[in-house]
Amino acid sequence: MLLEVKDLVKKFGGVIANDHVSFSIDKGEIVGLIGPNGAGKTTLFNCIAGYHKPDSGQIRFLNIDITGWPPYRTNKIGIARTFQIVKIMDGLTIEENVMVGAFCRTSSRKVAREEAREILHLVGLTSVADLFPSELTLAMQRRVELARALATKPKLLMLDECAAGLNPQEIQVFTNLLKKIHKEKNLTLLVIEHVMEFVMTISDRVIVLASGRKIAEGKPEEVAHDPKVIEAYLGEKYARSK
Amino acid sequence: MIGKIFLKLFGTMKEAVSFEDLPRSERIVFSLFVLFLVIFPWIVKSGFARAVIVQFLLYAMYGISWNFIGGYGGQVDLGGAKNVGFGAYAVALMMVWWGTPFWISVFVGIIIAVAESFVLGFPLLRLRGHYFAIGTLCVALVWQELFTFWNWTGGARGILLPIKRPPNLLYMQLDPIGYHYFILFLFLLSLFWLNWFRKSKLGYELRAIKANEDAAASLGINVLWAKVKAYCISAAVAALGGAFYAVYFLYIDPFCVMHLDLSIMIAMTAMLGGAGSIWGPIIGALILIPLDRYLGASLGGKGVLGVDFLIYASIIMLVAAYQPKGVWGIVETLRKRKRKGLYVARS
Repeated sequence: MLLEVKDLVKKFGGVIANDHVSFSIDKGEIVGLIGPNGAGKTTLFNCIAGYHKPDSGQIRFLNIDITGWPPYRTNKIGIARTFQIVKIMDGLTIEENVMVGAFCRTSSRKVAREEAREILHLVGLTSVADLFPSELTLAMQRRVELARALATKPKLLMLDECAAGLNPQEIQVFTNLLKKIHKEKNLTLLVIEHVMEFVMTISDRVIVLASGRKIAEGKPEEVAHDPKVIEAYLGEKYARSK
Repeated sequence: MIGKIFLKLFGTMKEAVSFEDLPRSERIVFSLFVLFLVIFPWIVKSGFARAVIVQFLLYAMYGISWNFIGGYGGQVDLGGAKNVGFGAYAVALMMVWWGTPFWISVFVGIIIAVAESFVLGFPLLRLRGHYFAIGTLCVALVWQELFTFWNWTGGARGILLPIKRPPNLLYMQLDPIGYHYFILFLFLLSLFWLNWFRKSKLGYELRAIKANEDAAASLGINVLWAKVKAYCISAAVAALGGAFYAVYFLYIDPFCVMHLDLSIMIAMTAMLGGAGSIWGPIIGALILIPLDRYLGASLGGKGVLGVDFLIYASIIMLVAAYQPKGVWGIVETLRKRKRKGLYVARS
């Protein structure tokens, strides 16, 4: 088991963003994390990656308790993430952005540059390597974030709404890219997504959150027909009428 | 084992003096500039001009020190003067008390400055943006007041260094040409250090932090620790400059080495030239220092006081309003514009 989350609780004042969430992820899986707005998906991400400290519960990665570790430590142990709203690092070129990620595992500039070039080639950004992120389209910026995260050589890659704001064609390209990377790098993926056609085609397994609770888990097609999931998305009335 | 350390040291030094990743035009201009500085004392005999060049090199050095944390790290440090003060006071006091040679006291000064920055860096660098600037300002003000009111530091009267017959290499009391080459050496030393830093892992980490702290943390960067390291390097370079100040002017007081004006001037030098670029502090000092000194001398001598400050302040305001990235920012914008067309062609 790669990642194990047990009874995770995170409150913001009176709002319970994550209410006793438990799940686990095996090595090599692609797991989708879906749910309506405000379900607590990003909070869960932030707890795992160390941006929030959980109020209770436990997070174990490779059987090591990483609950409450700061982000740089969770990254060092092998968890990389991207952000819902792209956090590009302007002032550094695309290549340098990826190099910063590669510096996580090496202190040699030469090695970092070589690795960065390799990853840029993998994600198809070689032709724009010397440009600045602000000069690129959103779809390409998301690829820069992906490349940057990959450069830290993660075991688990967490993508937060990486298809948001992309057009159908760009989503298709991105899906294929993720599949390719998953195969080549032998990665485990945890993907938050709103775009259903994306998450349903890519995931082996889907976890559904609603109002902070886990309400369903299983194969994409099973989850899609689960009355509880339909209720969460479309309301109780719609679920009963079906 | 020793061989390995030696090899690594050699690699670091080679990295520090290599500007190969920069455009050829920049390297040529820089080489000509250094050549000019080397032959300068032999072609210009004016004592005033020589003094201005020494001041220019000293301020360029201060600007370089600021660039480590302020330019590359994006943490606007408004307390640079305290480190200059530590360096200067260590050299002056140790010479007065115990007759300690410059070459020992300079290291004591650097160690004190680094230790202070290390201890205070942890609370200060947790602050972000303006709050960090205010925090450093406060710390520098406290030191300024302490050094003004303490008796053992000479208080507001300052310290006069015992004068030796130049050239005295033990206490580094030299003739004008000697001082020129001494500060040129220190300036190049700090420039090479900045050049190494720029290309090192730490440099990349700091630039990532400047761009986005959350993103930097997601890439395995210990944000606070990286900032503290850069803050300490910055302190060391500033203290080195302060030590030179003491042996050059042979008189120091809290108003010239610990004062708020100096802190602001240090930050301005780097910002005007271009924060976060290797040439920025040099360009900044090249504009500010001659302007400041020549205007001060020509107008102040005629009884027109304050005009130099007016011009000086206007430049700062214009830069802040229209070109926040400083003079070097203009060059980079032009370069970017040139490449824009390329991007369209590529996609």
